[in-house]
Amino acid sequence: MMTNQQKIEAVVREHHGRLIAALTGKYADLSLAEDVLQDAMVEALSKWSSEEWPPNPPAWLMTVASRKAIDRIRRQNLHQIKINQLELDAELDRSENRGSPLAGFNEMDIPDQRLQLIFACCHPALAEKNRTALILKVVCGLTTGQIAKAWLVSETTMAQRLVRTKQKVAKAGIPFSVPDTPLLAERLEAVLEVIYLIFNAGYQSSHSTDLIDIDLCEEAIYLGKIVMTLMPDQTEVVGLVALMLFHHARMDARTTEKGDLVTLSEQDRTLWNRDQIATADKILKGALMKGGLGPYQLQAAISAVHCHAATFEETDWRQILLLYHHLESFQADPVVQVNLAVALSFAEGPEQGICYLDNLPDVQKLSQYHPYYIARADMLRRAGDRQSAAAQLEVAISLTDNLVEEEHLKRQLNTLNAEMLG
Amino acid sequence: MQYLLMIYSAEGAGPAPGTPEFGDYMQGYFSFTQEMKDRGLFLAGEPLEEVSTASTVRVRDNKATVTDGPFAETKEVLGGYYLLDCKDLDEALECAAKIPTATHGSIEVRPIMKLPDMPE
Repeated sequence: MMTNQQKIEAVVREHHGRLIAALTGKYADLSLAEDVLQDAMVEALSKWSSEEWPPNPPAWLMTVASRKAIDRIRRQNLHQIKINQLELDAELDRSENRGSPLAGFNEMDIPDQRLQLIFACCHPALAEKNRTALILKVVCGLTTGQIAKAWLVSETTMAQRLVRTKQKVAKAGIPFSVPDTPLLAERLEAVLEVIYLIFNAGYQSSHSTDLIDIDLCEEAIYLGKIVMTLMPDQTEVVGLVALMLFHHARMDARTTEKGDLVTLSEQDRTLWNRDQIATADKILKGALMKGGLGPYQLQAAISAVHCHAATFEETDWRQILLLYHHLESFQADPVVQVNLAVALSFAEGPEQGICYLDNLPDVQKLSQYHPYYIARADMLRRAGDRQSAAAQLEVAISLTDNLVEEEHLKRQLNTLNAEMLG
Repeated sequence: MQYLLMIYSAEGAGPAPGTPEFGDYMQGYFSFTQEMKDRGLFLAGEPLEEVSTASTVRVRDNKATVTDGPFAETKEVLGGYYLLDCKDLDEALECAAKIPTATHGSIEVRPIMKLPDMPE
């Protein structure tokens, strides 16, 4: 049974992005928006009860927060915020309580300016780590403490980072808008990058989940869905959401109860979330039919092929290889190249995979990328060269900074060594 | 909002005077300045003499000392500036990318600090 406070917090959390965005749109001040929403929540704690719950909670919060904002602007007499006195009065008139302290706000329509807020949070003039922190704070409504834990920094450090980031947004004049066509593609890419970064931070987090009461993967999917709903014609956004859902659907099979990593070939496929895979399928199909193919849709399509294989052995590697070749034409980076080699090794044989990697023109770019050595080790082992495979695994172990993965690789190395002795 | 666009580059990095490239380079500046004026963004903008002509002043214990040249060894030096009145950071960044030196140097874009209005 939730307490009144928990219920109110849940409402605020659910509508956080929308309320902050609308308040920022109105008063052009992100910090003010956060402060007054907090004030409104405090007021809700004293006014709402299970007997008297407002018919439209977000509208109530918006109205009360707006009134608090006007109070603060008046009190601080901030000259730079030029809000016409008449506008202020009209605003107050509209938000005046009529009768019950909980009624009177039902007709209020909160404008959806979450996209503007998301684009502001992901502006390239902000450092990457600041973009992720800010978006989780203001759009997802996470607390500073939660974000600090997820990124393994102290709460004080995170609080300072958030304050400085908000100051930069305000002082540098980062626009609160969705950019026009010439800039849109580039900026949307930055937005998708931030969302995927958050997802991957959740997906690869090496620390015990007991420590964190939030799921960054779910936050990233939530953000992706907002952008997808508000920009339905951007097929790469849809591709990203599908990709995240395909990955997330396999989350439970990725680790044992002890927290050990389980690779794709060994995963118990009955643990995969079939409903989520079906949802991902549906939205990916919708995107592919619209055209405008891009790297996120291709990665989602690759994930889809994996998700539809009944066993690892039955994976359609030819299809996956084809998709990786497409993907390589968009982004010939180490991640894609290593994965392409793996697909090639299963489709045509481990020697072909090794040969592809050896012939890459810029193979030295892979020298610090540990999945390169993991992939090589696996291909060498399958080709019968256990000695070289073990050497590659040792390099991979020295390069990874993820504890769960390190344990997993060490177990592989032990198995390999045992095989050589036996 | 007002932004100061500071143009940094390593001395001697751009096209050398007298070459045809230098002519194009200067023409680039003339067109950029004209565009800023036509768009109503231009407040000020000038090139600076080379860094060897700089003098540095410090006041310590009420005493001013002057030293020759730049006080820190930096690869890129300030070579000029534009003061623009832009809608937002995106407009300022768009303008900065059009400054000819941006192709071999860098442009630092800084908002001008807004001081509170003085009481009347």
